[in-house]
Amino acid sequence: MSDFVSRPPSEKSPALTNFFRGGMMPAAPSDVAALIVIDIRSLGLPADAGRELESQIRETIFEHLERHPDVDLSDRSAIDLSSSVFGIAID
Amino acid sequence: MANSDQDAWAEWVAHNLALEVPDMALRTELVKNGYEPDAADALLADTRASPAFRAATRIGRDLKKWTSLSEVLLDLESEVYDFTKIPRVSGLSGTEFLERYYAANRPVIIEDVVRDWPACSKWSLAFLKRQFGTELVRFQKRNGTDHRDAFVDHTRSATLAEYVDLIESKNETNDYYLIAHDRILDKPAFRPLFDDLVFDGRYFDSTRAIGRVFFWLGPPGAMTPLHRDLGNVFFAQIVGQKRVKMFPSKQMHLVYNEIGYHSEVDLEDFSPEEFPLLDKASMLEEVIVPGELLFIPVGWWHWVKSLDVTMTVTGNNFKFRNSFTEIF
Repeated sequence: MSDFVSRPPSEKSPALTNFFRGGMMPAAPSDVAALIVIDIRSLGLPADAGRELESQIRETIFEHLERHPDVDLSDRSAIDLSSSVFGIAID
Repeated sequence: MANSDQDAWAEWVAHNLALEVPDMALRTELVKNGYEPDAADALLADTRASPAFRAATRIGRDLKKWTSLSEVLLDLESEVYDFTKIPRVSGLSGTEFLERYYAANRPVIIEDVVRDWPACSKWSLAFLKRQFGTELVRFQKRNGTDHRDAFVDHTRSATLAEYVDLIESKNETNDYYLIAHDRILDKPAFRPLFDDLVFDGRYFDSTRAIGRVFFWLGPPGAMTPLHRDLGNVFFAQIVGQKRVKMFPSKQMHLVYNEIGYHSEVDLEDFSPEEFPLLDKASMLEEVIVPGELLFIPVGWWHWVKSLDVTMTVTGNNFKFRNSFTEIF
C-alpha cells in the first residue's frame, strides 16, 4: 500500500457487515418514553396465575398494535429488543 | 476478470490518480494483477478522460489543502500542547476544562473526579454477581483475527453471573466483552448503579445521564481497535487498568480511515511498510488507572486494551454542547 492512497483490490480484506451504527458509543440516547414496563409482582399472584395474566396482557397489547395502521408486526421480536425493553415481570 | 473486479480496479485507479499517485506505479500494480500492459494503459487513459475524474481531481486538490491546513494547525498547537503525552490534572474548574480541553479539542486525564465515586470502592465481579447475577445481559462474543470484527455486532445473551464466570474462566482474551452498545445501564434493574456515579457539576449535566452513560466489563485482553467517536466522550475507569493509544483528530489522513469510523490498522499487528503514514502521526499513550477520568475529544482516534479485568463507565452527558453527529 505504501505507493498508493488506498489498497489495491487484490489486497483488500473482505468487507464486513453489520457494523455498530454511529461508532462504539451509541450516538442517540434511548428514548425511555417509548418503553413499556409492567410490573405485576406487587399483585402477589401465584406464579401460574401471574404467567397467565402476563400472557393475556401481552396478547392484548399485540392485538392493539396489529390494529394500528402504521405498525408492521410481521416480526414480533423487533419490538422485544432482547427482553430489555418490552417486558412484563411476573415472579 | 469479472465485471465487479474490473469496477473495483477502475475505482482504485481513479482514487489514486485523483490524489496524484504516479501513473507508472498504478500501471505496474495493474499488470502485476493480471492486466495486459495495453489494457492497463487504456484504463489509465480512459480514467483521465472522464469528466467525473476531473471532478474527482478537484476534490482531491481540495482534500490536500485541508490536510495541509490540519498539519499546520497541529504544528502551531504543539506550541502549547504536548502531543506526546496526555496531561494529568486536578482542581480544574468547568471554565478551565472548557477553554483548555473541551472547546480546544484536546484530551486530558482528570484525577479528582472519579476517585471518590462510590463505584470505585464498591464495584467488583463479586459485587455484580451478588447484586445482579440473575439479570439477563447482552455481551459481544468475538471471533476471528480481523481487528475490524470488534466493530461488528456479535451480541450474545447470558445472566450477568454467567458472563462473569466466562470472564473468570480465561486469563487473557478478547473473545468476550460487554460494551457500551450492550446498554445494560438502560435496563431498569441496573438503575441502582447510577447511585454509585457522581456527576461533577463542573463538567457534567447529571440530569441527562440515563441513556447517555454506558458500562463496559471485560477480561484482561479485551480490546477496542482504533476508531473515533461521534461526540465528546468521558471515560471513567472504575476497576482495573486500561492502556490507551490516541491520535489527534487533525491527523485523520494518517490513520487509514477508509470507511466508517474505524481504522484499517490493527495497532497490535501491522506492517509499517503497509501503513507508512502512521509513522508520521502523533501517538499519545497512557495507562488509565482506577479513579481517573480520560476526556476523549470528538474525532480523536483511540485504541483501548484492558490490562486487567476492567470496569469502565463512558458517557457524553457533558454540560457543554455535544451534538456533532452531523459532521460525520
